[in-house]
Amino acid sequence: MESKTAILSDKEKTWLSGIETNPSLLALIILVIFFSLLNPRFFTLSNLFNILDLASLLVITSLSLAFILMMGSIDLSVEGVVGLCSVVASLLVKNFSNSNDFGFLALIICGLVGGGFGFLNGFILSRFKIPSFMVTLGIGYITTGLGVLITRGNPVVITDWSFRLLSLGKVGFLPFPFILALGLFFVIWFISERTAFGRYVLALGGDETIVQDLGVPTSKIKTKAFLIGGILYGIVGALLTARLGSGDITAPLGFTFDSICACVLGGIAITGGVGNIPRAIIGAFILTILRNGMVLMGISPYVQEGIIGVVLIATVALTIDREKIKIMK
Amino acid sequence: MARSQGNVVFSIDPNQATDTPAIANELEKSGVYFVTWWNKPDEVKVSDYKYWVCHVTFDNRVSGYNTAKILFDSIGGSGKVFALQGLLGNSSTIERWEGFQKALAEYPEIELVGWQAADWEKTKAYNQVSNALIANPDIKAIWCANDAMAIGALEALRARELIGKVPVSGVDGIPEMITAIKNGEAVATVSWDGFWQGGMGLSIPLAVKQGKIKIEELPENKREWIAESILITQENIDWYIENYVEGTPEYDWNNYWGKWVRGIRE
Repeated sequence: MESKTAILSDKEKTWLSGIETNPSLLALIILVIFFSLLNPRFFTLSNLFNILDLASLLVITSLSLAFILMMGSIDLSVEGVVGLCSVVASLLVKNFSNSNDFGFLALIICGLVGGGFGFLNGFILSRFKIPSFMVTLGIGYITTGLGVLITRGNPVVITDWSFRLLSLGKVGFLPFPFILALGLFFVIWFISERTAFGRYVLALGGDETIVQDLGVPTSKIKTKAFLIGGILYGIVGALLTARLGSGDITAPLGFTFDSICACVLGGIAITGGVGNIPRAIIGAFILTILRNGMVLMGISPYVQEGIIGVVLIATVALTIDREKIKIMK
Repeated sequence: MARSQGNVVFSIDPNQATDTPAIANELEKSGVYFVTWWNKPDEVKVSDYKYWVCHVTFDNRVSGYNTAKILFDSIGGSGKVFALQGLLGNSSTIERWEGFQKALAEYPEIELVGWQAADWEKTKAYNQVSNALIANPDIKAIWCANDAMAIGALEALRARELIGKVPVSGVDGIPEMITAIKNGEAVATVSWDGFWQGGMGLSIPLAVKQGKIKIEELPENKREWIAESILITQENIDWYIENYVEGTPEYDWNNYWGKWVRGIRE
């Protein structure tokens, strides 16, 4: 290896090391080229805006999962919390079922509700030392149950058209949900890279005992990470209601798999301690573009999910940091 | 059953066919009369049971066929159409698709440019239609195997300012779809008359328990049968809203076979 790199120019070395540390970015570029060659409609402005719109909700949930996965935990409460917040949003804005009219305040309230359940996740996990797998699964069921209880399972149709601009609106040509996702991305990226808290989150995933020995309050960090995740789910719930015109507890079905898949595709290790926030976004776009590209290519719907499974395994095989995870479980 | 000491009848809508025999066996054991709806395994025969009064279902092929025909007619019988199927492998999915295909064969100028599976879900339908509109910007109509997906499709159309210009059809008769048909955004759906289902599902086994119906005298085709469904289109939407949404029709709960169409195996 050493003699090989010796004959490369400096520019080539930087480029190669960029790819080595970010093979998922290369995968994204290859995918884009691949689909562009196979269908002229792929590489068009209208498809670009379409992809940005479709990816936006996934980007936000992936931001949360990225944070939590890097910490070495997992969050299975995505669908429940997003669904409950979707229902909450629909009952707060103008709708057919009651006389509320909170407008955009509903977005903030959803963030708080989501944050509340996120806090519960982190609190129960760290206080009672129950694995995140079980806690978040339980909270997921509880929130789903609450959503069904409130609505008796019926969607709540909203009539607030300005609230719907959260999904239907555009800034220039860019869909508003994407602008929101972009904004949240920068916030979370900043928190992850530039705050001690963000760095500890990653360190916890690497080796929790070392972090504990340093005297860092690990419980507080875990709780805070899940709290942030919950706020993000609340926002997604409100956006989902704006998108579909109703609050529906079943609307986020599939979000958990997609969010975890996006993070893993982007190169965030499911075992923790490996990754960064931009990788989650790359992964979210890889997944969205895969689905979009397959429709454009006319690939049979019978095999589409299977293909995603194959890509998932292949990407993990290429991007997993085997130095950090010496034993595969 | 424990609470009522067996002095009860049941009307059951199992989630999937595989659940039904287990439920049936339990009720048989306790000597409780019951009716089941929608899903049961084909090879299981109601007439093999003493307490399983009937299994009632609806004709998915007819629903798929009728809604497709209305949809095709709404665009003048020609043009490009996109379709959304339910969960692949589901019997409702397969049967409604057969109905759709039958209608498609009768309209040579309708072109199916593609289809996707949206698993009966609104969000997935939104995503699939968004992508489909890129692949085929000149889609003129969208057939959906159920209303939830139809609503998702409508929202995707709305986001691209195509709502009202590209008609959509569904199945199930949910309130959002009724509104969409009234608004001219959708053209067809099918209602199963849940109110009737709820009432008749209990009225029939109660009649057996009270001796008004003798289960031994029921022919095979009254043990497993297909009930009438209501096709809702822009033509009869006002009638439907007046009678089924704002009001409730008069039901004769003693008219057990009023909505009987045919036996399942006929």
